Amino acid sequence: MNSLIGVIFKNSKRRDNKNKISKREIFLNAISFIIVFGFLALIMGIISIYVTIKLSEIEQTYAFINILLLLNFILLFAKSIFESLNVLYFSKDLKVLLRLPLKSKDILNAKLINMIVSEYEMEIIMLAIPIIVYGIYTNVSLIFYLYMIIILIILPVIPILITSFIIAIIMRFTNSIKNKNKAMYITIFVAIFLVGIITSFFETNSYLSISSFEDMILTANGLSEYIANSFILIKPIINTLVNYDNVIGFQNLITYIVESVICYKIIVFLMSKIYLKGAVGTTINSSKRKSILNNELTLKDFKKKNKNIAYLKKEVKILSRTPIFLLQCIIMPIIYPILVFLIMAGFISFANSVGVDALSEFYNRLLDVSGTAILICIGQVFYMMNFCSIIAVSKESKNSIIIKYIPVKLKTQFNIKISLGILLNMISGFLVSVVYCICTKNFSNTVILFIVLIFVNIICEKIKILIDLKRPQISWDNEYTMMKQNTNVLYELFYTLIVIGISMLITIFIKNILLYLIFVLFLCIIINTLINEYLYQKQDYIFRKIF
Amino acid sequence: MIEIKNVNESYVDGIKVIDNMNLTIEDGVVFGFIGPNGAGKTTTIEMITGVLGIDSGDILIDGKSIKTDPIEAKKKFGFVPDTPDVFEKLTGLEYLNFIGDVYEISAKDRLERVKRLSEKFNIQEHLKDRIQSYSHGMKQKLLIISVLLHNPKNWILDEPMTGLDPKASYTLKKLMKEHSKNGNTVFFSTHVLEVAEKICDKIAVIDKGKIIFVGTVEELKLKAKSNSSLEESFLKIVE
Repeated sequence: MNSLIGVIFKNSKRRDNKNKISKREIFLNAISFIIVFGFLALIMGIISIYVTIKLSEIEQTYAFINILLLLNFILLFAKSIFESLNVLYFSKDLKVLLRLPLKSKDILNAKLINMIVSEYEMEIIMLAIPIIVYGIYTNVSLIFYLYMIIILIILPVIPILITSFIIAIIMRFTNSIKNKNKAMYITIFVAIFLVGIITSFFETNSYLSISSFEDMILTANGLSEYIANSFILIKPIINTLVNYDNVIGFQNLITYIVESVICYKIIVFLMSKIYLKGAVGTTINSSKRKSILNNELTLKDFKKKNKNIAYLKKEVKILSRTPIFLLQCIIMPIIYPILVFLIMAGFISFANSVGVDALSEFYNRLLDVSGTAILICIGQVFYMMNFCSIIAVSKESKNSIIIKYIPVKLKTQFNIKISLGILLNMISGFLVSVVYCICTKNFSNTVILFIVLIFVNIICEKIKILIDLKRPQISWDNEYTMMKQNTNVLYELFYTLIVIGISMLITIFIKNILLYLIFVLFLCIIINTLINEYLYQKQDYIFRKIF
Repeated sequence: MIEIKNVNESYVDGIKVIDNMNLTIEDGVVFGFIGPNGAGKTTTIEMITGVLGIDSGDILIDGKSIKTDPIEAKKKFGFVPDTPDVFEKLTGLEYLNFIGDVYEISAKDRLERVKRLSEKFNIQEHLKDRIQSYSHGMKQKLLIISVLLHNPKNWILDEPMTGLDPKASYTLKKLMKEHSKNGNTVFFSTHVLEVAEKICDKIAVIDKGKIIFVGTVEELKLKAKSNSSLEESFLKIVE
């Protein structure tokens, strides 16, 4: 069993095609990772300090821990849907494992433990750092940190197990669908629906009125109690950290450990009864077959296209026909900005209804140069959330060898690969500009802002693909794992923070909005030209890591 | 014609995987490239096709350097890699059309060639299916058809028989012979020495990154002082 866990772990972690890496390369990789990770940890720490101070000002300090755990728990459930489906049913290692004399329980144990362990990386940034900051700020004892480590280790167990069980039940029935993609889509939709229903059973307070919200805020740690009482699945861990200094904390920790162990044992036992049938179904090679009569080839089947358009079409087809790529690279970049703007509108209207004139405050801010800079930063954050270019090469796995031997210039392929990301990012760029135009009613500045956002967009996509080319992940087991364990996203985040830093830094020296926009535009043009020059001069070097 | 001139390659500083290689593959021959595992066959082929860079030396394909004029050089050959990795989310037909567009082949030529080749390789019924539903052999057949689609003068094939059924293997060998008879070049690596013995006009043996023999099968037997099979001669020469 242990060796199986190890084999699956190594197989999913080793994703480049190098056998030997020079010491210099190991050193540089380690240094760059430490810088990026340290920087992100610092940012996360600063945010945590800020939020903790703000919450303590309104006597809601404990709420920080609760909100943090709740958000991570929800995130774990959402991610587990894709992860369970890909790791348990659509990973490439399944064909190897199924032909070995292994019990389904062993395969499940190995895969589930790997799924749980793989969450720890994210937990360090998203949970450990904020909790440590909280601990330092509230001056807790060592036992708090010990509890924190135990909680971080067991936190992913329940979300992953519940979601995997739901997926296993659905796959038991959808395995008869011979088209893998169709089975995948059906399973994802049914699983989202079922996970929603099941988690809502554990939610006790579903409606929050404005008056009860006010009462909750006015009571010391009322928000914390509300969250703990509303989401009973995470209540024991919340109570553990909040009451770490007395016996209640210890009791709750033991409760959560016991709950997790029982949940693990029962679900693995039940899943082992149904897993193999579903898994075998997914390994059968088939897809939608056109009618036999339709197999006769005619001239209509062969339409000549421009090679660049054909290349772009190929890119779109690969993204749109893979569920996780479709979601992260096409649907999310469209939905994210629209959703954020709708939430913002809702928040402003809610604030107005409780007597806070958030809209005018927002308007006033935009009339200032820092408001304009913030909008550019918001645009950059949206661009960051588009995964098209950061996996432009990695998504092709070993098929990326074709990049090297077809007679299409590498710089042309580079530009085609970023074009889809640029196109999708235009939606958020446009929305940010519309908000600016509505608020400031200054059309000329809006046009310049839009052009600036286009340049920021182009540069961002180029940087993303350069990161992917610098550290391509071409040996992966399944699409989801490649996306999830792609540490290149950290570098992308690092880049975004640099852009935000520079955008805000310039506002210290330039106070006039028009001047600021023109300066940023000028800066963008220079950076873009430099990247183009680098690409044209060094294309072979840039693509050297693809085989 | 493929010319490899003083080519060196190393993955880790100081350890050469290809050591000062010189090799000329003339037009009108089927040229076999044989050697033990890890000898440098795939590395050589990947350097010829531009997949790997070259540390020093040059490779010319019909006079075009893969180093200094890669696009023109790439237009001169068709390449089948050692593993049939193709975009699984596309249908066979979509993949062939993509290759057709990249090599700028007219719709009429595509129809004629795809029809002819897919019938020869018995894959016509599956061309409208997604590649993810194909078996290893079917993917290999699709790759071979995609390479022949733009009718390149030079064929470069890395272990092309792997996964093919006997009929497809026979068809491919026949096509290779026909292609070379028409004055074109076929360069392929193989572990199957019987195949090399049967269809190669010339062979090169590579071991530890060095070419240790170039000539006909008979010349190899003479050099190895062996009257029996190519297998025995090969084993003697690489020992």
